[in-house]
Amino acid sequence: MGVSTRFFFLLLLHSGTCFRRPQLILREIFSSGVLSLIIILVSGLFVGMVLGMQGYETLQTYGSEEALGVLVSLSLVRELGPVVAALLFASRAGSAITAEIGLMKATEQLAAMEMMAVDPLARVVAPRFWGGVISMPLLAAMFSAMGIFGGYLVGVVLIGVDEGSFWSQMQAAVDIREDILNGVIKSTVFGIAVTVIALFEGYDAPPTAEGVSRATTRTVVTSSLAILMLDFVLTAFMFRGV
Amino acid sequence: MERTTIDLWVGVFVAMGIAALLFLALKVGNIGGFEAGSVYTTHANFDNIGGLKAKAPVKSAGVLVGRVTEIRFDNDSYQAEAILSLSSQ
Repeated sequence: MGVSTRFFFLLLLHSGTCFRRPQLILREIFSSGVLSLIIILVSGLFVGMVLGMQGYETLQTYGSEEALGVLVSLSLVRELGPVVAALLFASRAGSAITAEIGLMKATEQLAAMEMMAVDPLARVVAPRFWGGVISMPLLAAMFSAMGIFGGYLVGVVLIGVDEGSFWSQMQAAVDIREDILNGVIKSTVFGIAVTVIALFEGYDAPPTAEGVSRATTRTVVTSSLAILMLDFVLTAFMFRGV
Repeated sequence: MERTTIDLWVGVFVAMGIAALLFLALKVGNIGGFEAGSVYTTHANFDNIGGLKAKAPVKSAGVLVGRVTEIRFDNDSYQAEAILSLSSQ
């Protein structure tokens, strides 16, 4: 824990140099953000569709099917969007980051960089960090938007809930600052947590094949746990039922 | 991969992300809605406010005319006092 905290501060200290070379960050946004697009969009759509179906079943018992839009949008924007997108991001991009850096270390590429007076923290680690932190909120927003569209597809197009009340009740219930901004804050925090864990595990991995494979597994397990725990803490701070 | 291809894809990615945020903000959230500015405040006392919360809508004949801004306890009358912001149009 102490070592990873020190690693995090070193990382922040070294990120100044990578902002002078935005091309490096762009490359990392590509590999962790753009390449995660498909899984995020498809799973967002299906999560929204399932929410629409299950929500309709439950709401129907109380005769309030019109609240389906509220149910789908609030659960996506507040919780499922940031959390599920971050879990997918951890297993899709986090594991890739750990494996890449672990292999770089195992094949002594990082040591070679240091020999050439290139700081691997500034050249390799910091751009991956910022790429992940920038991608994560965007991915979560796309997940939520796609999920709401999925809920719309099932609720309105398939089942036949009234379209007007679906959207208008949603607009009345969702607050810009309270719900959407908090969702963005959550996903940014998750992005920081996932990328720091992935980078640290990769950087800290024993330089053997077994070590890299263990580090990759640990990244997925640790960051999933961290996401769920952070989610509880952030939710406790944000929505205290005031 | 070619540099320009990466640039293009990152551009598409960021544009999609911002579009999703805008969709959430404009279509899903209630941006604007009931604007402050042309409002006046008034207050109403209740024996029991039930589940009334701040920012709850105030409706007249079913039309949104304002919002509850604050709820507090009135020490003199031992009643709940709700401060309402109503549209002055």
